[in-house]
Amino acid sequence: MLAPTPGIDADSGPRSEESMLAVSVATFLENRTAVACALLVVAFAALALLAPWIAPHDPHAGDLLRRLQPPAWMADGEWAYPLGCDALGRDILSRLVFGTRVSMFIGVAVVLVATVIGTLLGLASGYLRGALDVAVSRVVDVLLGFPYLIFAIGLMAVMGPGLSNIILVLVIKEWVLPCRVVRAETLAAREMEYVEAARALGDSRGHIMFREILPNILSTVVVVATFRMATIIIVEASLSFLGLGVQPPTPSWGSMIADGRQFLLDAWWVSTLPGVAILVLVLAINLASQGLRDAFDPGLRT
Amino acid sequence: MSAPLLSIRGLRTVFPTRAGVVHAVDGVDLDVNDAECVGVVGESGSGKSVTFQSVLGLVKPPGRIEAGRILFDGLDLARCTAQQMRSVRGGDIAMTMQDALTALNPAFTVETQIVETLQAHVPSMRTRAAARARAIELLARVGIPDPAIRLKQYPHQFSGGMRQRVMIAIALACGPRLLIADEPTTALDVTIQAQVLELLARMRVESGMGMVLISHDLGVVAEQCDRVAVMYCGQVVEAGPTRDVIARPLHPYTQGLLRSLPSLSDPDRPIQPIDGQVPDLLGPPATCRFMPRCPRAAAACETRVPLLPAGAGRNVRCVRTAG
Amino acid sequence: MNPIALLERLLQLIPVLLGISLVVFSMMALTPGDPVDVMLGDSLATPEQRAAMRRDMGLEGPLHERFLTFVGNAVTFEFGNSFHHRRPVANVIMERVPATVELTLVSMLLALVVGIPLGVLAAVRRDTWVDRMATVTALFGVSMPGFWFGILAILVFAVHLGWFPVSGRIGYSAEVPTVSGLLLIDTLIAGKPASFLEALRHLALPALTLGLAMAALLARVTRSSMLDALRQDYVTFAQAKGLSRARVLLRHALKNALIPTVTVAAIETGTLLGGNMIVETVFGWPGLGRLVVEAIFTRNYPIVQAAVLLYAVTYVLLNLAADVLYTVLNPRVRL
Repeated sequence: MLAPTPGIDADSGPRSEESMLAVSVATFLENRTAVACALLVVAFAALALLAPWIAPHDPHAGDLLRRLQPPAWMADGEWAYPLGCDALGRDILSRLVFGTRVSMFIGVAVVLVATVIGTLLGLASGYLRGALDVAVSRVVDVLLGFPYLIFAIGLMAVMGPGLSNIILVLVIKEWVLPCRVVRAETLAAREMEYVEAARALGDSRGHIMFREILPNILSTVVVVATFRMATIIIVEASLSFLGLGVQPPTPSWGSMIADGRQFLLDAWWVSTLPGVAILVLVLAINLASQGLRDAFDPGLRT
Repeated sequence: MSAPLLSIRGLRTVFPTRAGVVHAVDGVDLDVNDAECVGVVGESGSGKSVTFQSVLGLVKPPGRIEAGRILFDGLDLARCTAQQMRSVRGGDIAMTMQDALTALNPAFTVETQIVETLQAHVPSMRTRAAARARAIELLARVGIPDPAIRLKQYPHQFSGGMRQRVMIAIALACGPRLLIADEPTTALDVTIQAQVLELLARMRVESGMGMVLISHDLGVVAEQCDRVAVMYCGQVVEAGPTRDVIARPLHPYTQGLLRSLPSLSDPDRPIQPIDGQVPDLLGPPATCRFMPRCPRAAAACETRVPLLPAGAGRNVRCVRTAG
Repeated sequence: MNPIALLERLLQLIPVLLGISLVVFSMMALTPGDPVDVMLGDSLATPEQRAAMRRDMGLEGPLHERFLTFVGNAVTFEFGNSFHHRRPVANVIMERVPATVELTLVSMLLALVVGIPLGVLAAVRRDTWVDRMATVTALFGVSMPGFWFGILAILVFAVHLGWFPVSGRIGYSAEVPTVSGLLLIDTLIAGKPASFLEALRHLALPALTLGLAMAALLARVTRSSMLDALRQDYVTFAQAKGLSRARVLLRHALKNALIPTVTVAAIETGTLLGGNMIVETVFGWPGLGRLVVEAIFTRNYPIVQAAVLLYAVTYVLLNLAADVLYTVLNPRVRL
């Protein structure tokens, strides 16, 4: 047989983890759409953090003389209240800015906590197997049997609305996704040679799980998490729309849309504009996540 | 001498990529005659598979045929209509692929996959019954036991060698005049390889069809083929009757190939790999492609070297050996 | 397909269903406040009367007994009486189910009929303007909150253009004898084409809204799995056999591409079931979803409990159906 020669398929890729990360980051940065969207998400986060200083008016203060005032570019609008006012005369722009806090905070908090819990349980059940795996899988099956909103609505109904309740309820439903993904990846990883080698070297199970397997599946976990954030934001908005989310007077985009429903004919902006905010944020998250996924694993790119 | 069955002249196939244009096939001339078996040998990247994908118009976009003529039965396949191409594919020229597991659709039974080929090309196979009967015949002909039962099975239910036979049966279903077998033995165990090669030889003799046997394994080609063409870097570097080429290789690359094979007659002869690496197909140099690795390179090699005649039906792309 | 394997799968569902029942039961059992107090309010019922009522409603006794009673009752569709309707919960729910079933079915149909072909088209015409438009549309579809799209749809198509009604299922003037509960079918059976069209007009916007997210997702998944399938060797081999382009695409590539699509579609039916509540609220659709939302605000817990259980069980069964469909598409997998 011929001596092996690389040919045009020669792949002399980087070997060390650090440089693989560098390659992924570089690939991501080449994707201008993804970078722009990531910056947009950061901008929203900044908006959320700096809301009290950025919002032009107090979101809770309503001036009934300004009830249902149109946005600035329409007749009867004024630039001091650029996006108009709602039924109680409150500045919509300010309420949108403050609403960012709710969406971003819930989005990040739920995904963060759920991912940590899900990853830990997924690693443990995937690697250690046995009774733990069986128990976790049963719980996952049961939780997956509930459609997302049904579960959330059911629980919120009995627990009552409120920020901490929402986060709790959403985390309870959300952790199963990262858990399943991590478990599947762990099951595959534990058959691989690097794990066998670690076992042969006498590494402890904890070491193998956290120092050997986890770094390899981390990119998948991160990509899943970023995508889920988009979904969570929409779920929270849906709950708020139904009145089961954060309660007034805290502004949330979903409840703002609900408030504006009855004025659709005369004051379409009250319901429409918060939806635009949701759309923009979720779109940005989705595109940035896609860019992230493409950067980490170009093989998945279609 | 009658016209060759297939005549490729000056074929150039390129693949535009982000890094540049890859010249996968860069000026290939090749003939296949009726009832003849031509072996095409080369390593990965030599362009041997792409050449014959080009013949059947199977080059995946953005790759495309840039230049050349592919004459088959008076038709230039590089320029024919889609209709004509579809008629030729499977009907006149058939192809088998390297791995039958991926080439056969996992979602359909073997029967479906044979019958659809028959019904696409053979008018007398319009009825399901006729097609089914023919399919059973074909499976029996390629040596599959219990063909009526196996017809209803899915590809994953066959062993590797059996699957290859099924693929051959499909290829032969419409009585093609030329069979292109792309690496027919590469994915198989050694013992099965011999069986498949013997099957191919038998089919060729029975039907009088021409055959192209593409392989990176010189040993496979040496046994089965009347003539052999050696490819390197998208070009044919040597061609001629198999026995002559192997007994007296003219091109330094062919010589290097033979030296890198273990010898049965002299088991203690050391294997000598060819030094160096295959050059990048992105911007092929305007010199002999093999020059950087050639032990006989000289100043005369710094030009584009055409395929030169070298006596008795042989051609060589080398200024140092021809003539 | 093996009926015994199917039976086995159904039996395997039982622990999951029990688990779901447990969760639903716990939700209610942990309700703060006393339902009896809620119902009776400040009326002059004596403590003994209240206790009697609690016992009647199965609110007394140790938790595990109550759970077993709950499950036993649930299997016979006995959920007690609705707090506000003063009628059996099962009856109240059954009245509203047909409307929801009709909406969900039509939405699912819409999503499949729009989403899958769009995905196939995008894959086949990859990187052309068709592909870009389809991809962008699909992206917007999954990034938009459904209820907002519904409101916009109402604003544009109902309020400003007047093509569709703003809400409801059908005008009051229509008198349609109930056969299946599905208006689209009943109107045809009763030979009332005008009513059929009316029902369709009322169904259009809600079904569009509910099906949108699923259609967008199906388009994305189908596009990516189709692109994957088109890269496979069996497509090249099918082409090499001289098969027509249509056959290669639709039979060879699509059949394999549908495999991941079916899996995703099955999971997404959950979104359809949950989205029920939102869409019915936005469009005033008289279905189960809106009933549940109202029940939550009136603290009508028996309804909420029964409905959640119903939704969950339906979802689980739908997923089983999808698994069966999967084995049909992918002969390498058995049930």
